Amino acid sequence: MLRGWNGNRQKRTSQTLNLLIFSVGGRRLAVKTDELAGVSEWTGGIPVASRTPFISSVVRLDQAVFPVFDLAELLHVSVRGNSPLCVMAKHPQGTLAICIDEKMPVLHTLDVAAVRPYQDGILPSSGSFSSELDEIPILSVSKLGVAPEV
Amino acid sequence: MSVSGQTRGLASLIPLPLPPVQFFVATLGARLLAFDADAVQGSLATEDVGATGGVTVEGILYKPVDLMSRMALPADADDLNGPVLLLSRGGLYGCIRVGRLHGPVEREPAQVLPLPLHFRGAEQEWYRGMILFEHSVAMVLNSAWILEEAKSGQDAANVERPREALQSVAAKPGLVSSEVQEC
Repeated sequence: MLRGWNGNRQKRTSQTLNLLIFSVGGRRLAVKTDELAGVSEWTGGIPVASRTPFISSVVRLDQAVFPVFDLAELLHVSVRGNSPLCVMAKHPQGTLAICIDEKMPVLHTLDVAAVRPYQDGILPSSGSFSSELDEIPILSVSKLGVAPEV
Repeated sequence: MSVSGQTRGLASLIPLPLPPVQFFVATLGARLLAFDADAVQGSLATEDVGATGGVTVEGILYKPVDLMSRMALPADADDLNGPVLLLSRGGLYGCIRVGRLHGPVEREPAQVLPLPLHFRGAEQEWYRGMILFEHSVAMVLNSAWILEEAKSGQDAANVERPREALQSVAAKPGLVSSEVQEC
């Protein structure tokens, strides 16, 4: 009985997803909060000669240096606003920085049942959900830079 | 155990600090690049080198290395009139015109940061790490990779040159040789 009760509790707590909704070039995207390391102001990328698609700069935050994944380039858009923000994403190979629009990201709790399969051939995602009139893809951070985006 | 024996035992437990590493930081294609100081033999002022690139200093031919095209760096007007770095490693000699030479910097080995694993293209061979420089980051270049370009035909060109000739040129940057000949 105890086992069954625990199982029910696990099922109940895994019913929701905590997401951060942000935008890049006006396009709304979401990322799971457990894949987030933080959000800060964008201090500017330092260009680095590179042959890795979408990774051609780094950001320096104090004494640490992080590679930048150019999500705007992947989406063929330009980051909007004069004061862009920086999403620090937890990637299996180390934290990645992503420049996003200056529009303030919002936290969103989603019922997992609302997640639908999503595949646009460009963005690595773990599904999508509807919000207002938008279909918002949930970015799969772990697949950034390893999925065949090009 | 004797006193001397104890001393030896303790000494073996204490790791010796690694010596600091020296680099010459330069700007090329609007990027900050760090060259191993061990490989830098000197620098030449712009007026001492012709536009064609290669130079001979005290009988040593330094073949031009075109990092701009190898790394697909964007053209920068500053790169046309900057100093030329003379590099040598493993019997290979090359020279690179840079936009600006910022000078020597010294870092502890632990301050040479590894290239993030996300970089998975050819640049893994170009760089051997990164260092913090002023408010920015300089990529530490792999000297062996740089001088690969100077390999072709160079063995024959410099085969007769005694090692001592190079030693005399090997004063660190600031040197402008009086025996510079444009190739």
